[in-house]
Amino acid sequence: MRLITGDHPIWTGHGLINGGDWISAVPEAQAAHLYFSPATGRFAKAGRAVPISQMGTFARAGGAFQTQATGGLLGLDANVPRLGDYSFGSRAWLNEGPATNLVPHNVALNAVSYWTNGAGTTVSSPMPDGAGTSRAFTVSGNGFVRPNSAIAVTPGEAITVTQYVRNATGGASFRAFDVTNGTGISVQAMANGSSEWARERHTFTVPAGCFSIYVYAVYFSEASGSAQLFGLQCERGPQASSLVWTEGGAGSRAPETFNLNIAGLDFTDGVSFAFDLLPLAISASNDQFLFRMHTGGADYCDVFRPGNDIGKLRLRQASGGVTSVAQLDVDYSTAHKIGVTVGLNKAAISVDGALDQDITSPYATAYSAISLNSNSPSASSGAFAAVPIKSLTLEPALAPAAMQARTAA
Amino acid sequence: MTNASITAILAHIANELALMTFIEASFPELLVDGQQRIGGGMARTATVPAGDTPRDGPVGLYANLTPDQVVFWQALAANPALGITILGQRPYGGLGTGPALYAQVQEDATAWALWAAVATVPAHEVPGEEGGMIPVPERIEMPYVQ
Repeated sequence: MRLITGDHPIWTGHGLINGGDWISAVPEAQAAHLYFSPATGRFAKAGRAVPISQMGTFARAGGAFQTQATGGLLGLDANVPRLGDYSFGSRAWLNEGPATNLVPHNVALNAVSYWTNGAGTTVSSPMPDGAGTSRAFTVSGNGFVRPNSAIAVTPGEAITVTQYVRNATGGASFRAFDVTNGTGISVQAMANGSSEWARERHTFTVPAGCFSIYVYAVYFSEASGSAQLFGLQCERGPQASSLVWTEGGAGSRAPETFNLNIAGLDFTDGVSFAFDLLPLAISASNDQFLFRMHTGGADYCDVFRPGNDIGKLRLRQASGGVTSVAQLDVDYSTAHKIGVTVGLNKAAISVDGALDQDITSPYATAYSAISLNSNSPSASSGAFAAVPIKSLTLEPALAPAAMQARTAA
Repeated sequence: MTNASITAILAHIANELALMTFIEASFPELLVDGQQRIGGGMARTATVPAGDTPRDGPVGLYANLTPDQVVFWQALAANPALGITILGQRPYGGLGTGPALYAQVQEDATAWALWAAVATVPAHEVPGEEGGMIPVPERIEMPYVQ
């Protein structure tokens, strides 16, 4: 497995990608306070090309996998952002919240302490995480293979199981079983019969009266079935996140946060956040957290796309224990410029320069920091969907004069 | 910040509910998820036994900490009233750090006994899909942050 460490020049700023000449041909980069284009590996601050390390501070207290253009996985060290991720089909900056894989030992299906019918032959040909590991297994003729421990669940909650699969034959399927009531919940055939690895997903809803389930690495509906499997993962919620290895217990991936370097930039009238997200990500069912303005304390102003109300952009503010929420309609099929202006006790949001709403705000402190994909305190489980970013810019607010007047201190 | 600034720790907490009560009174800004979990920028933590609410009893904790958080937890551990024992710690060294930390702690019989006391899942039987019961061998839970 190749591993990019925190000393990699892409991240430490020891060199610029593509040099700095490109900026003369990109007007929006010249005009922006901060310009991010992970899709091209270009970054600029105050009209000058800079390495991303000068744009702010990225933090992830642990490792994560980045999906490469080939579909393979690249292990990244702690505090290294996933700027070139292809999980959603084209290159983007992948930011994810915290996640936990409830499968206790997905590194080896033949570890009998953790698996029922644990068996299989390790796959020696290239695996999704590259040559050198033997964590993929060929399984056939066993009826099923699943973790031998049940997972505690809540009726009505969504559960998402993912796994890398190839060469699936003979009715090889995902399956979920209601342990409480002794009945099957859901079976979904594995689709990938080809020799190339593909990550497949099985999402189901826990039925009424069910408090414990089994999930399966594979369940064969025919006697002669076979499949090659890698990286079984089970997460709460309807959204799959990137692979988390587990070895002896549930494994977690730390949340990712990018704190923008806004020192010296004038955001007195607010901030305009022009974003271009990958359309596939918009189908996410969990909240997609875009950014947070805050002071480093308990007060904050969040901008996010609510998973339960597709087509909305939501502004949520909290100050002094008081929370307010406002939202507006957004067509996510195209890029937009979202203006957020926060004044003392007043706020406003706009789309593409047009005032949409002005709001009575409890936020009574001038914000001093902006974080991308920071933890959302309202998410009870901490789970929210990935935000694959093609590009974004931060500029002084494009708020119309009327908005500025309303939000003036 | 580089990866070297992250430290993985394994800790034993004598009473999770008492610790959370102390944190709520002294450092309320560190609590998230409806006051049920210590956050404050810490990586998602893994506790055993896992539960939706703080346990009125001993738990084990695995966490990846920033330097400030290491200082914070060491200060907490220095207060005997809080019942926190740091069983082991090591600099974050990539995706294999979790198993390496557990291997390190296993070399200290006293420390491992404390972890095993909270993380052992005894041998038991579970319902089989075709009826009857299936034996599950004893194991010690080893959750970690990737």
